Amino acid sequence: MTETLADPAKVAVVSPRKRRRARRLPLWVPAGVVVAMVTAAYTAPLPHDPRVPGAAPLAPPDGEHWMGTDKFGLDVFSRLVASAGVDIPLALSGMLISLVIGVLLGLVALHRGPWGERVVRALDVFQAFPLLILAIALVALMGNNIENVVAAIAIINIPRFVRLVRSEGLTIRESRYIEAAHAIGASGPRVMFRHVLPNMTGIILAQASLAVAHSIVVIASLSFLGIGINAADASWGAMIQTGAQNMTTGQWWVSVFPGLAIFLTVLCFNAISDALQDSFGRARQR
Amino acid sequence: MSLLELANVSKEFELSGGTRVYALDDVSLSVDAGETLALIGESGSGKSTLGRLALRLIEPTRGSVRFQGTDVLSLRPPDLRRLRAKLQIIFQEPFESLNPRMRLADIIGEPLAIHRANMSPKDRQDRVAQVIEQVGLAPDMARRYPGELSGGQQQRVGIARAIVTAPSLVVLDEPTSSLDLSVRAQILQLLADLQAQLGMGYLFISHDIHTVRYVSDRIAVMYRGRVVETGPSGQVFADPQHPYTQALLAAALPVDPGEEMPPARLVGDPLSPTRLVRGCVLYGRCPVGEDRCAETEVRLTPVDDVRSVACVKPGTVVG
Amino acid sequence: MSALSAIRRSRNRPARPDTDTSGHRLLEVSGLTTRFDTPDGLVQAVNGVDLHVDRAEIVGVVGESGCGKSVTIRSILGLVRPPGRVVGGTAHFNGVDLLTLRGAELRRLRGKDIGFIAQNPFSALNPVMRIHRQFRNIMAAHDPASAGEVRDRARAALADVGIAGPGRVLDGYAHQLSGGMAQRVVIAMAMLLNPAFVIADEPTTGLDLTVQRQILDLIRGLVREHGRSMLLVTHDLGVVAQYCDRVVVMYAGKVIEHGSVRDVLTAPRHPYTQALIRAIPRPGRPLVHLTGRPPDLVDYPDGCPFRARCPHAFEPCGHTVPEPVTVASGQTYRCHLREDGEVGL
Repeated sequence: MTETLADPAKVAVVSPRKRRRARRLPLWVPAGVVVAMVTAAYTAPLPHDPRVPGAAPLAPPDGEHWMGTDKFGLDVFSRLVASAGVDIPLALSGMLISLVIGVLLGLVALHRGPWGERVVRALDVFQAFPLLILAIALVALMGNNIENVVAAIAIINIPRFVRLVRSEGLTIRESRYIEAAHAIGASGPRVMFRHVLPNMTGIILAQASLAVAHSIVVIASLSFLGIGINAADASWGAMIQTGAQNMTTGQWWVSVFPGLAIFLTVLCFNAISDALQDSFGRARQR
Repeated sequence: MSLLELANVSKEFELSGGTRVYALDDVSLSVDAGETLALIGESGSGKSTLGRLALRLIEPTRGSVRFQGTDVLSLRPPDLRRLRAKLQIIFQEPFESLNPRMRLADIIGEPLAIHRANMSPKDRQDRVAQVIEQVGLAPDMARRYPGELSGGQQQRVGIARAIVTAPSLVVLDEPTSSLDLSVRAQILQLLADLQAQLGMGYLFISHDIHTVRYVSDRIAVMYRGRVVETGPSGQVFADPQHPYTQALLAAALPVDPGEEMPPARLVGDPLSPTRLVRGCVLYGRCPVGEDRCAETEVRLTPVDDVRSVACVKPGTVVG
Repeated sequence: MSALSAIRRSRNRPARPDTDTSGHRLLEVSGLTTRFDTPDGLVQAVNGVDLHVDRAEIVGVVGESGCGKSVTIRSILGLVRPPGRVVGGTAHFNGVDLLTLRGAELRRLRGKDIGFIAQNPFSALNPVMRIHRQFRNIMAAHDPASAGEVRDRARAALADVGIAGPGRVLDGYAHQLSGGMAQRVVIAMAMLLNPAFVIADEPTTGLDLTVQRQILDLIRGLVREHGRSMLLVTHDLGVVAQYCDRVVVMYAGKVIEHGSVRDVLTAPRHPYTQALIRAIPRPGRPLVHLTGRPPDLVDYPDGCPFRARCPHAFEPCGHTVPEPVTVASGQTYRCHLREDGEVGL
């Protein structure tokens, strides 16, 4: 005989105001780290100029160069900090564009008509492409500049928003409060923008944060391949690339520190996503 | 003229596998202003489908729906939306029927925003406050979200939203069945008070015999997509004519341990709704059924001037 | 007496005679306390529950959702899983404290000596296993038998619960059954090893009304016929009135009143029991209802848990938990108010 678990939600009669927070990292911790990184990139006094070589090449970390120098004699720490001001805003702006386009297309895809059908078809075709290769091809073809990197980031992230809005929308549309909205005489657009969309904002924002994390990695990959951001400008991916051949000869610091920076940033955006999902999920339950 | 009139309504659904479900089969009924017609039946009897059909939240396969003389099924979408101010519904699941991201004031005020577009924000606010008080909620709850309320309070919000535009008919789809006993009584009392004040007609859908007996003026007993018996509730309860009604009433266990329990009358489980039955839907479970019941087309037939029964030998009582 | 010897002793006896050394008492639960550690805090689901079941007796446990009735029986059966845990009390069954038994011992007892009928038959049946395999699994765990013997006994058990074509049901899957049939199969499984004691958790919730009657009549028949005992959890006072001998009324994880069904339902002593009975709509009688809602089980109130909703609450209710008071007939209730109007402290 199967033993069904007692459902604590049914047992508990808990007043919502007394709810204690779950044991998750609160939103402000990862968000604070990200804000601090970007702010530092623009305002903090850097120990060395990130673009002007002024030291011995491949010097190990010491009191003067905290994270050592690369093969051009550039200070790794200064470049690392400055890169945050390039990589994170690029990822954010790419994501924002894909968010707006993706959500709108997702809402169209929800429509029970020929246009909804078309969007769903297009999405299927688009998803068959390996997106990273598509991004590389786009930037390589359109030219190495920041606008094209943002465009590539935007394009590769659109499908995830379309998919999310469509699948969430299909679920929400079946819920009782949507039926209730129709029953009070709400029009189609009203149901869509007052009832369906607000109930997926949490999950969209959570997805947006994941999209930023993914974009950080994509930007790094592009720079690593030498396309996208100009190598002279600081970028974590370019920094890893610069130090790649030194790894085998023992000068680990050139690549490892920017790698850690990417790791930390991705971790932060993932944590932001979790926290957002958590706090929005809370409102849904009783 | 009746407030709501459903005539020969049928509804068939097609499941994804291609199976047809016959949810409603040739149902006719009417609700008058200010009265409560209770629709009683078990799950799968089609009573909730009928309630949604009355509001045209779903479309019937055949039949007609008239509300205050208007043919509801021929209305264009904008006209149908306008009609919704007069024709409202209260759902079984109070929490699920409220948008979790809206404050109570916005939920209750939304029908006004739709139907009374020229109402000033101040007037709207006043009307919402008035209704909040009318359904027995505290005024300061207007700023709360549905998730912060108990089940009973959530159902009060559902009621407030339904009555804010002063409808003439409200469909109540099992409004108390998800609530605990002590809360259920509060809500029934509130619904009765509101009906007395506002003169609304109720189409009250329920499977709870105690509740139906308490609230209804007339009842319609449903089984497997058909109405098998209808009449004033006092008479139906006192002298049920259809074997199914008799069994259903016997299924309500008396709470007084001294009161004797009527014998169980039906055998087996209800027929699958994927089969379209020509004869009586109770055939096979009925204690007084005969061979002819399987073949004879059994339709609702008057037994006196107020009651109708769909049975070839109404009023037969098993010993 | 060790748990295992108790099990061995009670084996292979069709209906246990009343000659056990523990007398006529079959189950005695006392001070049962169960908590759930949730992100919202510690939920005090069951708070010192005392109840007992005698031989050949049907005891109803009644209360509203969240009153702890289901958690109570799950605690007794050792079915509470993390984040829930039983933190105190004893549950003596045939002289063995069930709460001290470990996994294997407890599993042997369940099924063999205690049959369990869950609320939702479809969650109790394995959806991807043919019914006869599920019967065989139950038998194999307790009483190894040949395949032919398993089938014969399963057929007999299904025939006992009124299933006309047992062979077809045995070869099929759960999803091919209607709700009523599935619950019959679950009942047959619970009765298969001829337990002396049956625990049923809202066995008819979710079934059609006319089917509910059939199932309740069936369960009662199987219990009475073999001199078994049963703990029947329900929220329906009608079920209590018609099918139980004694009743235990729970509120906020506590037993607030118990006694014979006749006493409790016709002369309830506790204001909550009174309110529960009056809340049933009856024609020609005004509806009496409670205001408010049950207390927050995370922030459990001092004093009487019913105080906030009680029409008679007075000063002592706020700080002192009422002790159980027993009147002549054995009816027991926890309230500071006495019948004669005196305050009992």
